[in-house]
Amino acid sequence: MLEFTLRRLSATIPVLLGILLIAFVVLYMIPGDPAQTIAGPRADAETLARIAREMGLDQPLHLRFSSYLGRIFSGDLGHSAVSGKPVLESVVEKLPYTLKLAAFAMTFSIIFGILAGVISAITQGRWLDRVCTVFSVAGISIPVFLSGLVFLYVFAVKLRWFPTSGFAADNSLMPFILPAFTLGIRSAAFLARIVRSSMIEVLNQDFIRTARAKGLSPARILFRHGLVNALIPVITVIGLDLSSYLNGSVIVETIFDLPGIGRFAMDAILQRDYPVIQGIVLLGAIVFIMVNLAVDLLYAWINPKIRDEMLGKTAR
Amino acid sequence: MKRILFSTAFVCVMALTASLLLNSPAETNPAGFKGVFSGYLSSEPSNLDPARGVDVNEASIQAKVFDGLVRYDEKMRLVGNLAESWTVSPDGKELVFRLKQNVFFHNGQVMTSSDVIYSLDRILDPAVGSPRTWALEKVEGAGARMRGEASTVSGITAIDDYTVSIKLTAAFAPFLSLLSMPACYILPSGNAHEISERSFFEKPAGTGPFKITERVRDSYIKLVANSSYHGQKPHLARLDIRIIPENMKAEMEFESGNLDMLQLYPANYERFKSDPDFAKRITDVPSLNVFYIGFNNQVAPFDDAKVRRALNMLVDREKIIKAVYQGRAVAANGSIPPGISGYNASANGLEFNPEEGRRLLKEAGYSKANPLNFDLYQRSAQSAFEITRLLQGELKKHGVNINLKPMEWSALKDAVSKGEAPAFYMSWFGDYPDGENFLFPVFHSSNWGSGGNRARFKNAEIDRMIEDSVRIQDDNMRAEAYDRINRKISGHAPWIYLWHASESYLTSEKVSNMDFSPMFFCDNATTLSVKE
Repeated sequence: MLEFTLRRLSATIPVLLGILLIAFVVLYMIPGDPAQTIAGPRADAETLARIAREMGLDQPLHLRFSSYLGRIFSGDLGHSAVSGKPVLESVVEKLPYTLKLAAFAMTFSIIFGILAGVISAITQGRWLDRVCTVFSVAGISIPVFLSGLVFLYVFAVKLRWFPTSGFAADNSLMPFILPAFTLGIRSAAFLARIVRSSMIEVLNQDFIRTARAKGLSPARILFRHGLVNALIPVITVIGLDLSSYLNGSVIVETIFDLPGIGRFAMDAILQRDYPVIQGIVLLGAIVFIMVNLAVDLLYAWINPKIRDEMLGKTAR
Repeated sequence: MKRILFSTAFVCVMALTASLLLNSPAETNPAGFKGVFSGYLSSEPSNLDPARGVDVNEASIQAKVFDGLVRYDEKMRLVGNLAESWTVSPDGKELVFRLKQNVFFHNGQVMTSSDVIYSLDRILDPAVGSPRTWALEKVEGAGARMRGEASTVSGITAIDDYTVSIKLTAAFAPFLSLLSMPACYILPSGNAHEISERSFFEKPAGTGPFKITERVRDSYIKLVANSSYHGQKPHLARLDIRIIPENMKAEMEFESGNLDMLQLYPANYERFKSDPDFAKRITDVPSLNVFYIGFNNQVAPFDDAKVRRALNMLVDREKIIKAVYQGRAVAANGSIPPGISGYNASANGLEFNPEEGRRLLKEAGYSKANPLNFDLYQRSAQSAFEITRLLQGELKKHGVNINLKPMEWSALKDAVSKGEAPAFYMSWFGDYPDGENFLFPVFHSSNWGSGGNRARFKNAEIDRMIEDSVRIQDDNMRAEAYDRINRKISGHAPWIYLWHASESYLTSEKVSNMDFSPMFFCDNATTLSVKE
């Protein structure tokens, strides 16, 4: 397991460098001058040139990239070109909101997604399966900005069950329920579809028939033998969703006034605040790589066969 | 199965751990002040540093926290603020300000001449890199200071602790108006270190009527009344300003009673206006702006004045104003909006006249066989499309084909500043309420491109007329000069002059005496009351 972990860990470094390079080049290529955002609508050419110089934008691309890498390795993500605040400080300030939202949304989607998927699979073709299918297809197809606004209007404005803002200065959990529901519903619906098809496939396999023949209880067959084997593809989906949630959800954060990473990133992009964009890309890349690594390790842990295959060992 | 359950439980634990990372702040209300106003801004005021701010939302908070030497009151009269009086020398080149005494910053420091000199000098300090250096560029020694050749600006000096002299290189009558801008707000020189580190601006201390007590970036700013304010004290105990970027969300919050004010847009204006209960609480505020289709006057086909004039005459502004703004705009006959010096409502010869427009186009060589086609650069926002699609349809009737080129805002500004856009739909919002602000930045040849003259208009006579007009100290005579220049520029039709749009606000039943100023930074919320 240690060899596997080390091997996977070492593979992350080139991936991280690749992501940073691509982000750097893309930022360089997109139109829009960051100096103009800072200088406002009455900036003369001299002011623009001075700001560009201060931001190092007058340097050739390779020099900018190498000095950027140098700063990252010394732990300095730079300062926001707009507010002057250290990027790392802002990220640390905003991360708890994104983490909290991601964790709540994930918990919601795991519980409801798996439950709906299992129900659908065991009632395959019957009305309960159809109801679950309708809900999951709707959950996947309805865009988040629409469901968010509808939930907000119905549950917060009309019924007043929840506050309209997701932000809570007093640590209460109530304001997070609606945003987490909005964010998690799509992933719950998707999970339900995956669990359903995966369960149906597993339940039709020989070992399940054997278990039935052995006279095991239906619940034991379903959970102990069926669900565990059906969950491997599900972990991949959970991992991918978690990575994207941890990188912030612009729409949910905007609709529910959450000062998280997603909105921070969006504002930075619109203002061409390069140091902030690069800081968030770095964070996002690390999160994505780490979650993927965790998913791989989890596979290997749950199913040693996968580990052996990945290490190139032949199955016994 | 246990392992799977363990993984799921791990995610749930993460949720709870993250929730504990948030802090719980406390609320305070100063004695003797009543009511809390719940407002909002559409974006985080990233920069509360007056010298660095360029954004309306930033200025709206700065105006409540800081003061300048002078300000515009609710009737748009220029009055003293930190300056109790001032004199202007007969040649208009020296202004002497007598400061109020016993004025304190929110952190207890007393305000004196040294704070004024520090704050104004800071705008020109090359280490600060202020985008507003132009506000003080006519001060003596400003050039040397900006180039780093001098350690302070020589033209701003203290006569004593409460008297400041500002010397200009040439008479510049709008200078007092420029001093009212947020860029020229006064900071405590005692905090020079924190100011240079920029940490001061998280919760800056000014001399203004409200103090910032809490701030969570991208979420809210709470301000409480400054009980020792030197001017007219606020009525309100608190201003709770939330950051709500989404219009529809703000609308829901207003209807839920969580906001006391809502900015209305063409999309929701009609709905509220048709409800008599809401209609009586809507205020339309003529804002100091001009919307226009700019042409790059240096490239074909827009280097031909006939084409530019013709296009002006082919646009039925009144029809579009009615359709999009529900009448809440005034057709523009020049760049200067109503309400400031130099505005003149009379016709300028570019009014809707399709026959004359078509004749001019024909003269310029365009016909059905050889139609005029051009790219119109615009912001890729619904509000911009509402206008440009109408314009496209209107001009199509006269054989003019517009190809819309929607772009993201930063990219659009870049393309226009570099002269890459042959025509563009944009607007200009005033920085200070003087006609000069709608002439010099947008049409003087020294401001080509990013400086504000996006149309790349160049005319030596107009340049000279603008330069001469700002030396006229008499307000009425200066206004006449602005009007002459405005008309002379209209004669060249460097833009399609569209309109001056109003902004509309809906307030809750609890709100009274809200100062709906046409200038975004004039409202310091001292007149505002909210019933408890």
